[in-house]
Amino acid sequence: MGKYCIKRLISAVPVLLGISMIAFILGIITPGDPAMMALSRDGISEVTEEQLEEKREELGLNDPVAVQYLRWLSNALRGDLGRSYADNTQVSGELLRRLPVTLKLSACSLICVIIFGIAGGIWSASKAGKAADSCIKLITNLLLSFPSFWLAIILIIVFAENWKILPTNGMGGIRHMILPSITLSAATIGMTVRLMRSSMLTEFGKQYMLAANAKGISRIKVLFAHALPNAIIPVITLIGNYMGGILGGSFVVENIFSLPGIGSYVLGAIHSRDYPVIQGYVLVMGFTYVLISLVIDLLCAMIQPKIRLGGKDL
Amino acid sequence: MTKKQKIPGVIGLGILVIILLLSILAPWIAPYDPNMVDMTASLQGPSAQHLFGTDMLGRDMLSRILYGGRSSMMLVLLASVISMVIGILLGMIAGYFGGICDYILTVFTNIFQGLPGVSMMVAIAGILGPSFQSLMLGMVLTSWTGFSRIVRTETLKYREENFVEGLKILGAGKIRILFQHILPNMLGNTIVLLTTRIGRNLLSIAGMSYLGLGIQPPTPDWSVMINDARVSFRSAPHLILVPGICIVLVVFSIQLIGDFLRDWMDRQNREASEL
Amino acid sequence: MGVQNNDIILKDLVVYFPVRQGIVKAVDHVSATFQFGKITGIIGESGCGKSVMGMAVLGLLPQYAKAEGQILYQGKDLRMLSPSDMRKMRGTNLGLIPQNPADSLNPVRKIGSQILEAALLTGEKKQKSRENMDKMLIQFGFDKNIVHRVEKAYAFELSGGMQQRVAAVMGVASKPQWILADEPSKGLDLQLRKQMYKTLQQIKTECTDSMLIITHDLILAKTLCDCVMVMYAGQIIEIGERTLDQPKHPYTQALLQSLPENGFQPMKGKAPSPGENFEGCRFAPRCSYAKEECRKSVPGYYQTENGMVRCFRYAGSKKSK
Repeated sequence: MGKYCIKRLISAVPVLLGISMIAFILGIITPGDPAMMALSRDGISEVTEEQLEEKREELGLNDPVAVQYLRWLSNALRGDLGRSYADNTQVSGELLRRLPVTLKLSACSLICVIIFGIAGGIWSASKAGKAADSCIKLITNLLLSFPSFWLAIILIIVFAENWKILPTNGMGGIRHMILPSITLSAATIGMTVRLMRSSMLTEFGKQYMLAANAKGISRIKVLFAHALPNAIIPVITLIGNYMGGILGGSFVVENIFSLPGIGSYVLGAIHSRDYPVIQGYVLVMGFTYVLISLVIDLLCAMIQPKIRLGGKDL
Repeated sequence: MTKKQKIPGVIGLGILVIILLLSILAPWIAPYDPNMVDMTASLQGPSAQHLFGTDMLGRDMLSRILYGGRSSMMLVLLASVISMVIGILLGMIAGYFGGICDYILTVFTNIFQGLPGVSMMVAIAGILGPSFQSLMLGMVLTSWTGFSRIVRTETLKYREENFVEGLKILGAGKIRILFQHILPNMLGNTIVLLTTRIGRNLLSIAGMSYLGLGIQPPTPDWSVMINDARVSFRSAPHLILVPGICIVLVVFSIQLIGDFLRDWMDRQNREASEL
Repeated sequence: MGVQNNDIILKDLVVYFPVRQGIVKAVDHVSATFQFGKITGIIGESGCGKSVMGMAVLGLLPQYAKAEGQILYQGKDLRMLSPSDMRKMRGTNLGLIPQNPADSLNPVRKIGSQILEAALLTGEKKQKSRENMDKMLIQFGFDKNIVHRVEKAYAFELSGGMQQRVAAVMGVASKPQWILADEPSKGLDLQLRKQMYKTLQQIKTECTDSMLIITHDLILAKTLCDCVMVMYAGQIIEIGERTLDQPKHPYTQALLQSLPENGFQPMKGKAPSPGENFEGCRFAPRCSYAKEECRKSVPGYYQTENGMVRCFRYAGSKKSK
């Protein structure tokens, strides 16, 4: 188990480095002269050639790209992602301040996925080939076809404007999270239902299920105590992957429901051409996602006795 | 496959073909110029002149709907096919040559997969501005990994097969083995993935356009139309519903086709393994 | 009749699988009686339909399989029972010792909990069931000191022999009246096979006399079974208490001759494939005694001194049924 963890941790290092490189490259391909933009951020509008050259030297723009990258990375690791062109604040501070909102939204969505996705999949598998199964298949297909913003608008119109039972925007208690997390999780629920269904059906075909059925224990027990613990393992692994969709999708959902997360921060930054924020967004999103996948992977390994115990004999 | 199992696939194909035809023929069948503003006819309900009514600026909804899918569908189709080609090439190289090639490519795949969802597209559109090229670049960069991953696995599988060993002994070149013998075998799975990818990408670009980072006005686009109509949804809810339904229908029909192809492929594989 | 009839009686049982090319009949109009209190062996080459027949008795056929005919037990037709009634029938009345024990144990659950859930079906309290489980594991050859460790282990931590004994305990834990052992010695090496014989012997002495052993292992059938039925291409072609000592049917004879100690003569021809159509006796194409008659018409069952056989060579003796 320890060996597995270490191996998994090491394999994440090149990925994290790669993501940081991408974020850095995004800064390089930025149109316009960064020195110029930094100067205008400092409030200097009439720029002289000397000032520009001075600023270039100060920002290290005359150094080779590799040096620039290493400097940028070491700053980033110390929590300095540069300052916003728009309001001169620390980008990392603002990102970290907003990250919990995005994480909270993602966590709520994940809970929706686990509850509805897994339950739907089990139900669908237990009714395989029957009308209920086809019905669920249709619903999952629809869930996978809704653009999240459209679903959000429909939900807002129905639940908030017409029935006035749920709030539409801003932060607050758990009620503020219901509509955003349903919107954000809809497609992932669809995928999870399908995956859970096929995973259950795979287990149904295995020999130990025949043995369990032969024992004469109840169908519920066969389903939940025998098939489920095995079927859920591949699903948990892929839910880790699906977190990417959820994290990335939060960008749209945060904007529609006016949640002050990272997504709405970056949208504002894009409109004001605030490039360091976009760079920071990519970095933080990538790191968050890789770390979450890592945790889910290790969790998944932990629930499998064969990996946990490392296959030693009695 | 029995007739009953084919029904959803046929329905999906039917819907998609109709929508594609309408979009392609839009310049000839649209009753109005989609961008013709007529403030006197603002926010009209459905009528004989305007079958789907008009929007805030009095533009004809039917014409805008007919035009509204063209850019995004075009963009997505192109980007997905390019991603597929790149993914196939890199995946085959990694799978067939193995070693350091494979390691580097796997790391690259993991890096690009480590950027969640649309964040790469958002960043590129944000930095380079939302042009056709930058949207395409963002979409290709997020989509190619899925293809390279399955192609790599499949290539690894086929590399060990007897017929490839046989071809090597016969002196067939690597390129020939890869393209003439291995590639055709995995095209099926790749095309199944292509359909899912097209569906996902359509939804991504729709989300981007809705937030103003995708297709730019004045080009008529379903997502942009939905955004425009938000302020007037009370008086004219159909302005939100109709374009939304269009997006759902396109993605839904692609979904059905993808499911059909997947079932069909599974069946082929099963029959092949039974022989 | 008055008294409950604990025999398992098959009447005209047919099991077939719809496939694209038509249907595959795995069990073809089989009528037989498995006597209560006796060990019945069903032998035959793989693909002859013996396992399918066993699964039909337990009501564990795959969903796409179709069955006709009757399976009578305790005055009921098992095929007519509702799924939940059949579930109750399994466990307490009909138990299974599955083939391939390694795959028959749930990989993510502890051994103890898997046995216990079967043991609880006897209606005993949890504590008592636990004690019974310990006792049974000891009976089946686990050392007293490691029983508790075995119960806390997962299947992959056990050796092949241990898995096999655990699977046997799981089958008998609910104290069923009948035990069905499906290919118990399939794929086992000599060592494990010997142990399996011992385990089955143990079930006979400790648990129940009524067993149905489905096997292609002639030695197992010979040493353990009171009555042996030979199956070929979905039909029973010979039944008798001394079938393997005095084989009558040319197929049974050929099977026995293929044993190492009898000269290792391989059987002629190849086993019929499922779904094949027959005219006349099913064994005729491979039979060295086959005559014109055998190829044209289907033989009935003929009485012999110890049982019945489905072969025209015994047509002189009294025809039964």
